[in-house]
Amino acid sequence: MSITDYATAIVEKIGKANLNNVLKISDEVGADNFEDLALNIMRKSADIALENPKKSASIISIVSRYLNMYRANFIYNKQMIIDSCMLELCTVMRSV
Amino acid sequence: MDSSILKKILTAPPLAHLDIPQFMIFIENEPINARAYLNLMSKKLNLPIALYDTADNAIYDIERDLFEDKIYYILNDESILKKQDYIPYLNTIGKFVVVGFDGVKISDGFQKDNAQFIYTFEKADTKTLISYIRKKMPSLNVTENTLTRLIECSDHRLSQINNELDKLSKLTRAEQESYFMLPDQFPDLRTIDNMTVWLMIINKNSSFIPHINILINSAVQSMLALYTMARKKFVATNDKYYAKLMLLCFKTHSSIIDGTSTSENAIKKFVIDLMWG
Repeated sequence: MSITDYATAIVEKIGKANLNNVLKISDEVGADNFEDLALNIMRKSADIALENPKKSASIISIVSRYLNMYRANFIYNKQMIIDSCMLELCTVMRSV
Repeated sequence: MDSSILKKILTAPPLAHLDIPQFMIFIENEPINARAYLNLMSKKLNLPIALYDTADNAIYDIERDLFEDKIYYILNDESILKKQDYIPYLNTIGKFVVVGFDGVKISDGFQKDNAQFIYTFEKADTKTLISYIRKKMPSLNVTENTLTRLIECSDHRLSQINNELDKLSKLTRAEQESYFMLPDQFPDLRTIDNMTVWLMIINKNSSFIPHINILINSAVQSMLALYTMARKKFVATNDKYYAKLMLLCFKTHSSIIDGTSTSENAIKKFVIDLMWG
């Protein structure tokens, strides 16, 4: 799957995903590709903003926060960032 | 109990000559979780597993020990030792572990040397452990607080408590009193290091709480190590405790290294969120 495909799957299905599966996505995408993934997720989320503004805003809020941390990559651990972003997305989206 | 499984176990060839310990659980009442778990273990280990007496603590500890690559013979609840039908087979299979509660009643003919007794207790069972210690060593004249420390150092494992008590029984009365009066006489306390604390957290053992200074002194390293261990455990068990631990480790690690929080405050928050969040 391409990064774009992962991003689409995440935006569409993250609220129903199993926590263990989201970690698998994190492993398959790889910590070094988190920036690409994050930007694609935010683009896909913007696409659904009209039909589901709350979900879109929540996803963008969470991902942009982790992207900022990722871009300060001289201090934060990349693997922790991508894992935690995926886990937090999954957890928060369940209640949206 | 399923009689076909029982027959299979009782007619199995002697296993004592094998180096690989065999694994049996006897669990009764067949709760849904136990049944699903046992089916998984039966396939994984390719062993007959019978259902007999149940204890949720035992299931938790069996699962934990298996995922840490410790495989034991396990008999759940000492009542199995009263069953004469099982005695010849139990004597044949060699070393095993009894997981039970509050003493073991051993039937005639059972070779006690074969058994290594491990008891698992929830924190709330400290009183029972203290009663056990007092019964085992009535001459031990120490306070409840001291006995509680002995239990905490032993990680609630009766085998370790028994080891400590065996050592104590060889001391004179004055030496026993001296043993308990000096905090550094608890050898476990002196050997507690980072890894011990980390393992306590990973094993969901709240005994790590008195040792958070160890976490504070190595905050960044501890968070990275715990994160790695929790991730591995989460992938293996899908237990949400480890997902929570991962997120907390990340938040704590980030807040320390970007200067948002001191190590002390961050670790204290970590402990509070982990235990009570």
